Amino acid sequence: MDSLLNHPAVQSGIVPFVVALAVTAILGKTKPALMGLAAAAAFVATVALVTGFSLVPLSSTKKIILVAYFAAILGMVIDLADEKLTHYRRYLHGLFAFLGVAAVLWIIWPVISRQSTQNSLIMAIGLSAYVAWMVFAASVLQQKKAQISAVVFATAMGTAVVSIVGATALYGQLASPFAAAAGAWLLYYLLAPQKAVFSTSFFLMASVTCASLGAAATIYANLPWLTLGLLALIPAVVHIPIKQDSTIWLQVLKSYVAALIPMIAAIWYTVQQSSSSAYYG
Amino acid sequence: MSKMLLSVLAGVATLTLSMTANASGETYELDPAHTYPYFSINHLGFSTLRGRFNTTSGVITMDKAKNTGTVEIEIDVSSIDTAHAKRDEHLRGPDFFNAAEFPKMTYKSTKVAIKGDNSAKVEGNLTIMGVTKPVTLNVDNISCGVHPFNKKEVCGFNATATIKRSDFGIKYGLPAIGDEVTMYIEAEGFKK
Repeated sequence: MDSLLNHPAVQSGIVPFVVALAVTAILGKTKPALMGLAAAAAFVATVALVTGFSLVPLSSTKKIILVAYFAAILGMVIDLADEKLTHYRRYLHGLFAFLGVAAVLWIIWPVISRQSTQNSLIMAIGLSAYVAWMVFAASVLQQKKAQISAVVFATAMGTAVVSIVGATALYGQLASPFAAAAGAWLLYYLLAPQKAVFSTSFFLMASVTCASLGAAATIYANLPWLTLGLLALIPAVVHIPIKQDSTIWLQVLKSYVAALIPMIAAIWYTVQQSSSSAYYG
Repeated sequence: MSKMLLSVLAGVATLTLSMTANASGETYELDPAHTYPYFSINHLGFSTLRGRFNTTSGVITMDKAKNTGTVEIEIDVSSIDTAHAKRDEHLRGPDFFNAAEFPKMTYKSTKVAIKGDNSAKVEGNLTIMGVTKPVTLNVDNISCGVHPFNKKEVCGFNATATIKRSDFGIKYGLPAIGDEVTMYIEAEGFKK
């Protein structure tokens, strides 16, 4: 059993998928507005298996985990206050993007604070723009269930694979549970589309965390910047017009095909850039 | 009378100062060209992987009269070298040492006991990735003399210690990649 739980595919794929599916099924029947907690449960399960819950030392990795927790809590509060925030919805997109920028600057501060002013500004502005865009673009899609789930899945899976291939397996393992949770949610959505809700807690936690992981990977693990540029195309491409009254399956198919194209491009590019010498750890 | 008193006082002061200087020991600056921390770790149960850090600096003091001293070593984490560029890049990344965030690894002694057989036990604190833990170095082969080429006084030693990387927050790959890491430091220093 121990050796099974030590396998990365189990830690970051199977366990979070099963956990997310269970939480989705339970909340789908009891409190659909909080279905986003499936993503939180999946992430926490992976953290328990991969890094443990200790926050010492407060490294960049632990900061990302803390940011994920905060995003989940904030998202849950917004989900619970849903009706009261109707008039303020349009401001939330900007607020989320701003919080994402604050988070990524906190995460990468140890490195940019040691750079020259010019380099610091380039890193800070570039990575802030990436995180802000990823969070904002996901936020505005929240009401389009097929499209938002495709964005979250492709962003998480793309971040996971490019991290593992090009930079850091640990970051990849922390991004994977969101892809697993998105897959679990999609399964529930296809079976019970009327009950499924893509909560704020889900997309906020997933988009902020995955964008932060990608940004941190460029700073701490030499992930190519262009990889982030290609991942940034995911929410842009998925904004294609899709008739909301078409069948669920057709909406899902169009959304996921659109999302997977830039994701595959990002993975392909990262594979090309990584060293040709074989290395398996 | 006053001149004699002043002379005596000056002599006592000079003697006191020289005794103080000798009591605090002799200071040796580590020679980076002959100081290398190595490490070995079990790799997947198949073999022992060895690597080293190529850039080290530090200062050692030795008080031969009191058989004590101090050790301060600073290691550049990004200088890690396991003879495989891709692996070295991985070791510098967030999965292991996160060199971009924690560029230095340090060791500072808290107690040094030099024994008569050219060995010593050094107790101190090792700091990796911002985490500080007590680590004891077992030192042997302490040897001091005059360098045959540059005629400077030099001292050298070998030191070993064993740590658990998980104690410092480096948990990637456990338990397949070993937790226990043996450290070896072979060092030389020139007297300042």
